[in-house]
Amino acid sequence: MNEKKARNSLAYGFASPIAGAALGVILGLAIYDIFDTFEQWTVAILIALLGISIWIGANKSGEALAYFKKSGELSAAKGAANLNSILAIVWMAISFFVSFTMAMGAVNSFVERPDYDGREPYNPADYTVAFDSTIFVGEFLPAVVIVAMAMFGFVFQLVATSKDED
Amino acid sequence: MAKQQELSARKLSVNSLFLIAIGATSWWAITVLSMYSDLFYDDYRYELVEEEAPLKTEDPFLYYESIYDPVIHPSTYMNLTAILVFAMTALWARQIARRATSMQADNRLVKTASVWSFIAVILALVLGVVFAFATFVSSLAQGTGADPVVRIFATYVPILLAAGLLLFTVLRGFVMKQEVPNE
Repeated sequence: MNEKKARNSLAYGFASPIAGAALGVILGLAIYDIFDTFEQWTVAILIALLGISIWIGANKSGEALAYFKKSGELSAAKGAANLNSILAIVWMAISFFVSFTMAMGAVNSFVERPDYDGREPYNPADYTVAFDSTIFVGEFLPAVVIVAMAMFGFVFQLVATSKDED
Repeated sequence: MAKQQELSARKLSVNSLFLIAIGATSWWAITVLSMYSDLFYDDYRYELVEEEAPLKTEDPFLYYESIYDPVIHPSTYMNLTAILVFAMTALWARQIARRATSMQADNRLVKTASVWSFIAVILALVLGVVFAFATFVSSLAQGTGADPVVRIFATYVPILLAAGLLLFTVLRGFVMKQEVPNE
């Protein structure tokens, strides 16, 4: 790698997470405006998009850091690597929280309660727990995908940002 | 030789980070499963009560009264298992990270693995403390009239197990560290 390539990598390291976040927000808004709904799979796709952009940023800043470590010009490369590391931590924490709340919602959706017409007394114990494939695929599976993405994606991001050599 | 050692240290660090990820994902899965199991166990039973209406011309008033009747929730032990799995993988990851540090301490990835394995052990301890405290507080809400068997297995045993787990994690993580072989 030469200095020009290293500087390009550094630029990508700073730009990629910002571009990914902006694209994710715009895409999310557009989906909401067009379809008037915000499904769980949309959240999974947006989190994946953000994660990939942070991973690219971490990878590029890691390359720049490895090059500038040899030449001694470290400050900007270290800044990009640290930025991507912090973003990776925030992304992982938010994704984990989102997946957990999504899974809780899906589990509660398996509960079926009868309709009351208002005349008979309400019995809190009168419910059944039934497996519903629509809820499983539409609400629970995205939560599983997000938690797997958050945990293993985070490892890839950390490895990408911790490069010591070319 | 130095290059080979660096590659080994990096590989060990990646393994350590993946172990933490596996532990956290397992914690998530077992905790979600415990929430699902909670749907089948209720600390209350409901009895239909009939009350006379204030006016003779009206129908009697019917409602379900909730009676506190605590049961042993499997979710208590599932949550403890989730913390146990996370703590064990964190300790294992810490051991691997220490081995990587002994091979090449100044490597950035080795430092990252070392820091994250330390954070994972601390997180496991925090989860254990939160679990024990939550069990203790919920036991206060039960009062003293609960069935002794339920009381023992829903409160005393989980708190003792959590204390044991915390003690083991602290001692294994920070005091009685295993010897680190260089190979």
